[in-house]
Amino acid sequence: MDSFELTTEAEYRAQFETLFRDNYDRVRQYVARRVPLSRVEDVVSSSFVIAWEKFRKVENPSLPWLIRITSFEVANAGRKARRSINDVRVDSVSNLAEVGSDVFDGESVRSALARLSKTEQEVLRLVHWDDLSRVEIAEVLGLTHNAVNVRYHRALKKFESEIVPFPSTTTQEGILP
Amino acid sequence: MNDMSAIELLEAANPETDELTYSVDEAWFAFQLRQSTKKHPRYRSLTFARRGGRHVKRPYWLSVRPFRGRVVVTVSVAFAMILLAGVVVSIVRGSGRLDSPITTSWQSGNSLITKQVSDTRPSRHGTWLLADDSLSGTWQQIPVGPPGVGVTCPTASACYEMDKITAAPVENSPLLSVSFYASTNSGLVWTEYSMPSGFSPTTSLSCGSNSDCDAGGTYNGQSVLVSTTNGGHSFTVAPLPSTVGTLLSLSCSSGQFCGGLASEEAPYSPTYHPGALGYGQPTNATFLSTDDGSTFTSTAITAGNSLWTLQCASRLDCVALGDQGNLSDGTTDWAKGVVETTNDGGNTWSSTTMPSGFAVGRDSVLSCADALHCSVTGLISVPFENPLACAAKKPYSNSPPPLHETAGAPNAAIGTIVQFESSLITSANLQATPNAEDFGCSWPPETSITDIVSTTDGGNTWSPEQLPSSVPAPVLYGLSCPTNNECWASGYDANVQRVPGGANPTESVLLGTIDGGSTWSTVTFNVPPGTPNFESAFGDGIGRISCPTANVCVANGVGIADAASLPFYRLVIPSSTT
Repeated sequence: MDSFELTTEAEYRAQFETLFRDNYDRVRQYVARRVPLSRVEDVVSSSFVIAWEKFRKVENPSLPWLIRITSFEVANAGRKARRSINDVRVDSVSNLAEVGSDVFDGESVRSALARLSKTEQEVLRLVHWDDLSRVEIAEVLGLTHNAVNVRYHRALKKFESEIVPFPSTTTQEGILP
Repeated sequence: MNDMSAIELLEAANPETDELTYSVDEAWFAFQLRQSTKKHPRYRSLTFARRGGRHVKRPYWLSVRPFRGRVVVTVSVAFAMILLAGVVVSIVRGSGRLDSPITTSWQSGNSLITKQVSDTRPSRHGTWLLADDSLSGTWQQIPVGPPGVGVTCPTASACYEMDKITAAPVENSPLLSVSFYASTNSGLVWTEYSMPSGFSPTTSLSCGSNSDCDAGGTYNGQSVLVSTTNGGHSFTVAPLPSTVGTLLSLSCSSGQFCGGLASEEAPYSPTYHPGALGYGQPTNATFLSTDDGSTFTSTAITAGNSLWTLQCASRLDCVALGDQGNLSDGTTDWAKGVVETTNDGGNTWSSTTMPSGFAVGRDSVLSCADALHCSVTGLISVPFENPLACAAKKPYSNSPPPLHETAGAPNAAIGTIVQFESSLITSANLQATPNAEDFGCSWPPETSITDIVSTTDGGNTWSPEQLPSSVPAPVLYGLSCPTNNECWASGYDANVQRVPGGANPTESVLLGTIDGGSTWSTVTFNVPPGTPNFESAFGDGIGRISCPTANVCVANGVGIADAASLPFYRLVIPSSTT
């Protein structure tokens, strides 16, 4: 006969603390890539508050689940910013790296990304910036694994058609160290 | 000097985020602090304005504005209240539970706008002919088609499609309305009709005859079957019996008979399961048959199986496929497919299994030419790791094996297919192709590709098909088998497709067999003069396919996700070649 144990408040809190500590950096990095630095902590904090409210109802809380919640908070931050005239503009790529290199033009990448649809931008960022697996991205976006693959490939192809080529240190063998 | 690839540019543009304002300890402390203060909501104090020497308790937003502003605000508030009242009334009216079927009034429909012949501007959706090189026939691209991907053609001339209109072109966006598209000339011209307001589909459209189509879904939260008998001019919304849940899969073999898989819970709410194929597991589905929506009969199918898809070749013969849900450890082995068949209209069911290693999931497409001959798409797992991609990603610290994927060893027949595919997806092949570094690095180190298995004995035994070597990593989302010998499958190649004029990492592909699956051939498309460039032509690839007869196929185009209209394809094969 199966035995069932009720999870106490303290146990929930302990489980959530583990989830928090394991994933805080990744969630913060996700947010920092999408909103101005001045708002990052606020969005991260709001995301974890909501995660805590939903924590007991979720079968398997994980990083993708946290990222999914956080993505909604990032979107909310953007909406709030647009409603406030004096507030800073929340732009998905406003924190884009300005690499001190004469072979890389961040503005060009920013422009190319901006010409993609929101979904296409997000798929590319999740793959190449946030380093999530396709299975994790499927959970974040609420898509099937196949749908993620299709959208990713099409987004990449579209990005390639939008970007202006730049010189590189890439060789046939791969990227030089 | 080579150019930086798009992927390198993207990764170089990754913002620096390493400098954390707080340590994890500090962040956890701040979180706890916020939690404790959250219990004390802020109160906004009322403001008072002096009017005629008396203190009047008024909302602050009226007290501090000049007269003109007050009028504007008052009018705005009144307008908002009227609007709110209207919404409430509509909700109250619309939320009434159906006890009997209702039918919408007749509507004429709106024609989709076709590109003018005189319009010579370059267009991604321009018309060109797509000719195959292995199976004689001519593909024609039609510039304007429905915006979705679920075409179904019950006859050579009648084609239908149903699409949701959402608030934004993204997943899970709020549903605004549902449109029904009809064509009476194999997709050349389309007319759009409105489906009943409040209807949200949970199944694909299934059309049993020239003018009869049905779809399962919810109507203001109640499980229903919506049907039309006049090609979309009017719809009947019939409530399902209270003993069954929402329809998950629907197959209509004629205008008078439909069979469906219904969930046991009502209404059905998709529940996401990490790692599972798709989401929403229809565990313990019930078979629901209906006589044109006027009467329903439900029978239970074997408990414990998660059934995903159903096809009824006649009112007696149906095949349902799924996976083995509810394993003892609470997981689902997605690579152990199950088959349920009935030959008496659903009264009794027989169970058997699919070849081990072949996964039937939510994206599987089942097509039955008759009661004996069926084919279905599913996934097989090919062990593979792309060194170029994985070098940068190891170790897979954040990608543990998904809990719900407990794939067992494939059986001998599937193992042969896996071995064949493994020989095609090689590191050398990948490294010689553009953009290969993004493919083939996941955890576990394997990649899922589509295969097709078929039965010729009504579902008792199933055999895997060896797809063409020219498509090393097929991902198929369309399958249609109009006869015992002929099947067409559409999708794309996740690896690379070498074609005249270049290579494309996500090539749209169309596969066909006219000998019962003994040999599958690849259809390659010839791009006509005037197409801007090779890849843009393939950007608008082929989506779902429907072949009502041996000579006619139609297929959705896929391309820009939020395009208002997508191209459409039609194939007419000369009779002499079939």
